[in-house]
Amino acid sequence: MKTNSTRQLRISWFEKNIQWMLIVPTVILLLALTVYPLVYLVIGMFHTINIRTGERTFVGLGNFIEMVQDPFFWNAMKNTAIYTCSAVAIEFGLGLFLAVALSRRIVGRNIFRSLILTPMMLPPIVAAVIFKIIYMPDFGILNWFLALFGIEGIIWEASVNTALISLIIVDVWQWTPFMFLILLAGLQAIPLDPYEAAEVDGATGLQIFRDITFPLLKPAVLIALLLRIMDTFRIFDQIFIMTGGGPANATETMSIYIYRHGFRFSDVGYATAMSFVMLIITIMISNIFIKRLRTEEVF
Amino acid sequence: MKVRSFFRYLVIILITLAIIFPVIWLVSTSFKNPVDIFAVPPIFIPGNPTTDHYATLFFEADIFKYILNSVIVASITTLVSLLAGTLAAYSLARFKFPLNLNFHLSFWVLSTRMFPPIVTIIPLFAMMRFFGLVNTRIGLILAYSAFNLPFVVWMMRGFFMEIPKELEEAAMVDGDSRMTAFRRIILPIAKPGLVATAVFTMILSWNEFLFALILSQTRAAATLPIGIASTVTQYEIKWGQMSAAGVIAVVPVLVFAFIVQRHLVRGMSFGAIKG
Amino acid sequence: MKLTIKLFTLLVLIIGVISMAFAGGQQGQGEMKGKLVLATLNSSEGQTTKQALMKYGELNNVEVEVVEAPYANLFEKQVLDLSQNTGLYDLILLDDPWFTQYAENEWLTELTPYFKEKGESGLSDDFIPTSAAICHHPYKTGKLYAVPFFGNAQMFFYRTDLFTKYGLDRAPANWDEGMQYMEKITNSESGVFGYVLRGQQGNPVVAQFMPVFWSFGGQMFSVDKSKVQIDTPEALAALNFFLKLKDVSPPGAESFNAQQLATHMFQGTAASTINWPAFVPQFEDPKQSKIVGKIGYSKIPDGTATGSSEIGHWIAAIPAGSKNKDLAFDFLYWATTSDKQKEYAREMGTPPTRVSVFTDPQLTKMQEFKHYPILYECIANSTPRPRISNWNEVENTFGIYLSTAVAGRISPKEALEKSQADVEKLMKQAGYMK
Repeated sequence: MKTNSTRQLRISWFEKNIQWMLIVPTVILLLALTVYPLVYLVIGMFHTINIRTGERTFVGLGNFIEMVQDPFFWNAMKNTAIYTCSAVAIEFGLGLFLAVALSRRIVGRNIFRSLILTPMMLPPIVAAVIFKIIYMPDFGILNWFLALFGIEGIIWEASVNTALISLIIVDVWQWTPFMFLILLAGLQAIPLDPYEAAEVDGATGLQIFRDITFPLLKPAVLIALLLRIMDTFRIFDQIFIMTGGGPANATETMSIYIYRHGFRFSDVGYATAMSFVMLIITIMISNIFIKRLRTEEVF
Repeated sequence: MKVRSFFRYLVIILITLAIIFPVIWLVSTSFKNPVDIFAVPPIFIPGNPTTDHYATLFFEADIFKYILNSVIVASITTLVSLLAGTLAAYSLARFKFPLNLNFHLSFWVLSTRMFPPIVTIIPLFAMMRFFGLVNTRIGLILAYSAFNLPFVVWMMRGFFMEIPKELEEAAMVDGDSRMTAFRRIILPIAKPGLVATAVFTMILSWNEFLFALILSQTRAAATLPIGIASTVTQYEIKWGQMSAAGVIAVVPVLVFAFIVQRHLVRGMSFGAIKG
Repeated sequence: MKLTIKLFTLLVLIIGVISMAFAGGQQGQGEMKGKLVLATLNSSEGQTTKQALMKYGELNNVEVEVVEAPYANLFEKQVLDLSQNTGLYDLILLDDPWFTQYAENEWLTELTPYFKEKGESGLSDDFIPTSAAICHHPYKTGKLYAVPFFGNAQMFFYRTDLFTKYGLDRAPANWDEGMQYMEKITNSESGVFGYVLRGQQGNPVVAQFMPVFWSFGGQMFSVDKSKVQIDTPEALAALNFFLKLKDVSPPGAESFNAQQLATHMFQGTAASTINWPAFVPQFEDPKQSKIVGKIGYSKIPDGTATGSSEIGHWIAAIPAGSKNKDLAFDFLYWATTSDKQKEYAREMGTPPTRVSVFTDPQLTKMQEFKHYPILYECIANSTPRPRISNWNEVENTFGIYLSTAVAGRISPKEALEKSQADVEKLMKQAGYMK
């Protein structure tokens, strides 16, 4: 029992409002760093900046109208959609398989787990350059390897047809470990009782997975998918280093296109307008996942 | 049954090999003379290996400074985000807020991570300049904590929601305050989640490039990715040096992850409640 | 008890690490005359400016700070500082195509008054005229805003051994002659191509195309910039020839950038190319090149007009927002004298911008500078990129269509027509055309 009564009062006030106290540090930090950018975004997207004079003029919805008629904008949208969906789907499938396979007790489990995590640890810029070396049409090791099987002539990120796929491969290579880790942690957190009960009932491996593992894994799955989709949607570093958006805009995603307008052309108004569109789309997509997560909530 | 496990094991080995091959290639490249890097047929183990690239990095390119900055920024960011984020996540997972704030707050936290980074750079730079935080490690730590927090909050919230409320309530009935119950009971169970989140936050802060580029100007605050980027010059990529820098960047993280992944063990048995 | 000790140690550790974080970046202040901050490139040129500034700081008791960045990011950093007028940098090293945008936005300090204080009227006559011209806005005739630091202009690189083998023991004088031998080499040597083309969309392909374009008599704009001249017979002839160059290039050329050009040349799989002089020292380094001693340099071959390189100097300027302009100019003046440029050449291998340095008998005697006469000729006869402030956008648009044509996805005529239309739109937007 505490002896000092004011201390008691202070502590119980803290206890009473604890739910607010706990979120205060986070809220303050986030507010401080995102309020100004948000204001900047909201104001910027209704203006256009003349590159020669630097003056800012209000154009209302002008940027958005231009966007709708801009074929490069739609191209960037298309590329982003294809990239995001393909990469995340493959990463999920592969990550799930690996997580399930490596949650059992098998020989060298720890070693496998550590090795699989390595791609994620590389700075994206290094991953991009390593693959540039590997992908080199005449000097790279990948084509040399494929030639052993008689497959020749693929020029990977240099060809309009295979460029996007080449980049998706790099993304899958780098971020499958992410899926793997989250799903593995999720699997580890599932209690043993349902499994014991199922074994008593004589369920098969597939049934156990479908009826017990997967439903209990759902929150982890949803979070993994949500975070990965959000990040892949905004991808920039690797694509910038590997292809710069080419060839012929085959790999130009939204982030690259926005960068071009914001930095290369100093057309900040148009860039912020497009960023706003990206933000809205991301919010809509994440809403879907969050709603699903809500049904898993305690209340 | 045995055949299936054998095949499964084989597949795991093949996938793992495919995954680590580029990393092996990275290490191999870092020891090759530039003329050998693109030799055909490819040279797997360099005939006359060179440590020139590493030597240049350590003695001329001042890579120790970059490493130091990265270590400081990444560890403090992880500490700060984990601390603030885990507490916030617990609060959002356990308490019912008025006005549906659970949902709105969580969503707002997440939305701060949805901004395309390209566009946040200009206002962020102006803001940091105003407070004199450009080219400081503090500035980087603040910026990194801000974009790691949403991740921490969401990950940990998910893990906390999986843990039945009954556990702390049982402890509180026995006389523990909420925070004590949190520390003694919930945290150990949430360990896998904490570990996974810590690993990610470390990695993200260690490898982050764009903000470091804009907010750091000199070696006072520049991190490893900036050091690596300096091997990409206007005319060429110094492949050998870049690979060596990549290896240097990866080793600490690998060690960290290896140590830590051993803790991804099954949580405590839930038998405590039934008893 | 044990818990308290653990928590205590943890607290001490945390405080220790945090205080290290605060401890960054403090230098001993001492009796310094002032401070200069330079934003420069992270290449050999950048290293040169960095060391020059540090030497200057030592000699004059001035505190210096150098910010280095890769090419693309240097531009961003500078634009960020200049447009927000933060005064973060006192000196900037910039690529000359960026110059027009900086000057038009009035982001740079005019230098003539500072020269007058020294008793001079402007840049010394020793600077190559084309080098000096790009530092004025408007081009050549307007006010002076920068000082030329490093003299880059494209050169034609070729394998002396291969060309001699097939009958030509000098550099090709014109494109027709050159193509003749390139085709011979491609057809006769297995695994070797006559040329290697830089086809990546955007700046790479445009930088590669402009010399060809100019050598066929093309000019992108009329002198007063009121007309766009992309969809013209000269341009079509140039583009058709450009595609022939692609035909004798290794596969994948439509995505090549400077790195791939270098790799193919160093590995000996390409016999010629157009590129920047930065690669010269590496050709002669056995650790990097398989073709040591077999490379020759020349000016751009002629077409229907005289061949002309694209000039790409690195020039230095003082941001308008700097608080240390006098000191900054003093450095610039000191760092660009003839003796200093000779020093840079000897120690770092960077190209100069002064006639006296290019013709210095001591330097041109040395093996590593045997290309100097050629480089000088290339600079003297070079053409700058069109001096418009939205050059980035124009180059980007033009580069997309060029690259698409190189990839064979649209016909040359269509590429030119579309470029013409888009560039006209851009010029109208920027106010250059009505």
